[in-house]
Amino acid sequence: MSTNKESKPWKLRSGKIWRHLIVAYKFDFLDDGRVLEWELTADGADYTVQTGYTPRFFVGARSSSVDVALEALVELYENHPDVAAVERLERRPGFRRQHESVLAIDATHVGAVPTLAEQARQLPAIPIGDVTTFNVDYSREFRYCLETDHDPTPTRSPTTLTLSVSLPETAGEKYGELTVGEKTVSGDPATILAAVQTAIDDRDPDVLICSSANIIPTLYSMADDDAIDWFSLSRWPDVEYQQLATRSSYASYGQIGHSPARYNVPGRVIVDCSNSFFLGQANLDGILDLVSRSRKPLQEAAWASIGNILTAIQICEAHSRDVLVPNHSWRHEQFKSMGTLHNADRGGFTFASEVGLHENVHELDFASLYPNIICTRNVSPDVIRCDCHADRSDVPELGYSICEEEGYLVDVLQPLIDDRQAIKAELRRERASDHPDADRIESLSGRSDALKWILVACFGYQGFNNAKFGRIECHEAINAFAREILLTAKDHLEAGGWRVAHGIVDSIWVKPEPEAADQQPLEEIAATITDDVGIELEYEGEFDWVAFVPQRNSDGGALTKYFGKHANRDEFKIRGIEARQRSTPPFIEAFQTECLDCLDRTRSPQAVLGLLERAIARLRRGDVDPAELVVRNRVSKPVNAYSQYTTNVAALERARDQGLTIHPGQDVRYVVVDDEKRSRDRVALAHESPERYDASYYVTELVRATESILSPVGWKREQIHEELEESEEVDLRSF
Amino acid sequence: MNDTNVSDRRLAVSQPASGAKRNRDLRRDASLPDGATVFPTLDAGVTLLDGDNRVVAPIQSLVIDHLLMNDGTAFWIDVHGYATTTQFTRIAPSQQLLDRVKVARGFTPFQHYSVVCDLPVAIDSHPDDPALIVAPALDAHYRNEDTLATEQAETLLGRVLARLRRYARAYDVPVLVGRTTSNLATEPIATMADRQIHCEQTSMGPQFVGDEFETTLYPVGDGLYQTTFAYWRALLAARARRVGTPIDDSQPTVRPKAPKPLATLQHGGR
Repeated sequence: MSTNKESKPWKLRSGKIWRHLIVAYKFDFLDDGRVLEWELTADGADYTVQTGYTPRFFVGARSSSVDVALEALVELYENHPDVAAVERLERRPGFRRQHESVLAIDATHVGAVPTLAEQARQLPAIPIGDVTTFNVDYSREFRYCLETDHDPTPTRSPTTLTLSVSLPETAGEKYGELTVGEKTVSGDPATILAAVQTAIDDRDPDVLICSSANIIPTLYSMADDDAIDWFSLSRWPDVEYQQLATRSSYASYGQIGHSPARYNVPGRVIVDCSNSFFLGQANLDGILDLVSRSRKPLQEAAWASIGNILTAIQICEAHSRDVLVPNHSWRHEQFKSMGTLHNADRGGFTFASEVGLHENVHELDFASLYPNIICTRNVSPDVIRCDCHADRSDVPELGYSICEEEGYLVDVLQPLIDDRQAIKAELRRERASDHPDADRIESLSGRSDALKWILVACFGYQGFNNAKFGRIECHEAINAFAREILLTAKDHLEAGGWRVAHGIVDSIWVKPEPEAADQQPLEEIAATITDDVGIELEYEGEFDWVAFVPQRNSDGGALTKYFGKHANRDEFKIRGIEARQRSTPPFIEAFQTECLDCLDRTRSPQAVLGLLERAIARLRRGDVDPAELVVRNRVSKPVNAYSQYTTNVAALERARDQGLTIHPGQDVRYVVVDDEKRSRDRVALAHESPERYDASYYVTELVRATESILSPVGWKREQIHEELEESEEVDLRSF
Repeated sequence: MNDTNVSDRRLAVSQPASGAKRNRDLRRDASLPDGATVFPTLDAGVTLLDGDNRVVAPIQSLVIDHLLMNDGTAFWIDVHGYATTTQFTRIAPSQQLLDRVKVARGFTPFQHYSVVCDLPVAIDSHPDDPALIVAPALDAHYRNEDTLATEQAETLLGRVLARLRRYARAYDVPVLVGRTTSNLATEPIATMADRQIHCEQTSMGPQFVGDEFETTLYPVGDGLYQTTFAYWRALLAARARRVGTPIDDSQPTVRPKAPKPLATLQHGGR
């Protein structure tokens, strides 16, 4: 299996990415400073032990106008036991700065970097505000890849083993049942551990996909308790597992986030399903695609947020340009007039949607609008409002200049746009082929989805306070260009005899203008618009009808809620309403879909109300399987942070009573059994297989789902209730 | 600078007006008086504006008033959306004023500190003279322990205050500052200021109170008195007319309708 290649101490450093990178897919950092590099082989993995690794961070002046006596810091660091070396180098402290003299500090251990960097702020001679630390908060494996020129892309498809436990199993300190791969094992700890060990030995997986990373310490503690010494998940004999991070809370976007503890098993990658955005939104192939783009090795890429990945890709770009990455962004926006701020604050573009049901509607979408604006208009933090073209006005409404030199963000995003387009084209070909390969389709979809999220985020990132590379002026400029582009499109469409019924961000819905004599074909207009604005406007297709849903408490349109029936195919497009929401119980979802069918067939609100009455009757008779009524909600905060006693709180309290821990970010699944109660008896958890439910609670949900469907044609909740009451009276009289 | 107007205003401020005479005059003057004691004059040096809550409209009103009475540009170091243009356009009698305020926002303590440090670059490269420096909610970024250790936050805030004082002297302009709360941690802001004004929410609307200044209340008919923001806007418009700044058509030029009766007063004053 594994072979040991002890290597000589070495040092590799380069500002540029090497043409020939060393390949390894996983890196383990031992307490004594040694690093294990794991390379995949045909039937397993080989490791190399590295002994000279000294991670590096930098200290430099906050701004080129600040004169800092870095000598004081040289002395501080040279005498520090955790520092291996200090030297003066020339680096660019920012994309907009030239080479300046900075201090490079090499730490003896990767864990020492944050503390050492913090000390740069503590000398009275150099108060905070004068210096900035750079290249500090990198994740370990990512840092290693950057500093030692490694490419973490696996050289073959990694083998995986899934370990999962059901929610009730998490109550105790040991598991009585565990799923290993495809097999569910139950029994005493020795039985369970033996099943895991057999699978590990047989398959020697490169990746352990765990329902929760807590499985790792729990299995080891089960082995300890039973004095089992043969249990091991590790590929490295001396270390079984390490805890990388404890469970923690953090503040982000003004919300409290929670991140589960993270664990590391030498030689293998841990993917924690409860702590992986991309595993949920894409798949392992999607994450692997991001590994090679971001140089974040698989384990780190799996738990990374979109922002982490986008930042990593930009750090790689900075690294290749000799640019350092500040720990905190001290760079501020330039002064602008309040008039400019006023124009910039208008946000993205939206046409007020015409609430109601529209027939003969066509949809047109701009492909990756924001990323394409960045690339076609060169909207990049390093070139926007440049000094060299200060007299120019390149951004509409705002008058910002944009340098002629190509911005780094274009280099970062263009490959993502191009590759995603190529993947989508491949996906279309595969789907259209005579024998579509399901695995390939899944793999391509995962990659396309992963890239989509990065592209979607690149715009918001520019406006995010703590983004290392973001710049609010870019955010404003992208919005300004988008508004101009949408208005241009609107003009062309109207000139072609079409009327815009709704438009949001990058999508436009049109229908024939009744006053116009005839309509220019939309493909033609789309091609003209594409030529005019330089970003492809795709004709998405025709709808027999589309309904734009009004906001619940006003007559204005809710911009993101609509549904429609595709022309020429038996499919609905649904956005924002219950059937699309993941928390909606299957019964409600099926009901709403039935309503859509009905509305499509009959266009009759009365017919939909008939469905509602029948569904209510079924509920009241107790004819609905409670399993169809399970609400699935994602927990957003700890139970004591909720200010109101919601069904979620009741479910969380109930779980806690049973010794179950559901952490923020995880789902809680329950059936509402008595909505009147203000205690944990309000709900029953899904795993309790409840046999009853609170009919009136679900009736309210049904009415709500009906309102979403009927409100575009003028039926609000009150009218639906009135109608129901009338028919109930009729029912009563007939008895 | 328009010296006549400035001295007019100083005169107005030096005459604490609480009298019935002024109110009687006001009642006669449907076009609203100039030189009324609604807004305190901002003198050179640092003025701290405190308030019972977020003092967005009060700060903006003082800035607009100052710009109407003085030439030059206001430089505004913003946090937490105090420079909201939605509010500014509601109060400002002329959209032209939007272009006489230059804003840079600090979204983190690091950026806020840097904006303060780089202010001279912005001022020196601007064609017009500075009329005013505005820095609301100075403490806003320096009290989040997740971002900065307390000691470091104190150091940074201290450096910000020292710089603002220096700018007030070097450019000989008023520096208008604010804080989100008044406590031990924000005491250095008050210590640094040459004077303080308090904007109080009274049942009759907001009112500025300082050592040498107090907003008088204005009658809106039927024995009611108020100083609402709508009233301020009308007052600023009247002021704009007096100094010859073009007033936007969209802006109301007549006195706004009286608000719902808040309190019936027997006489002017508090």
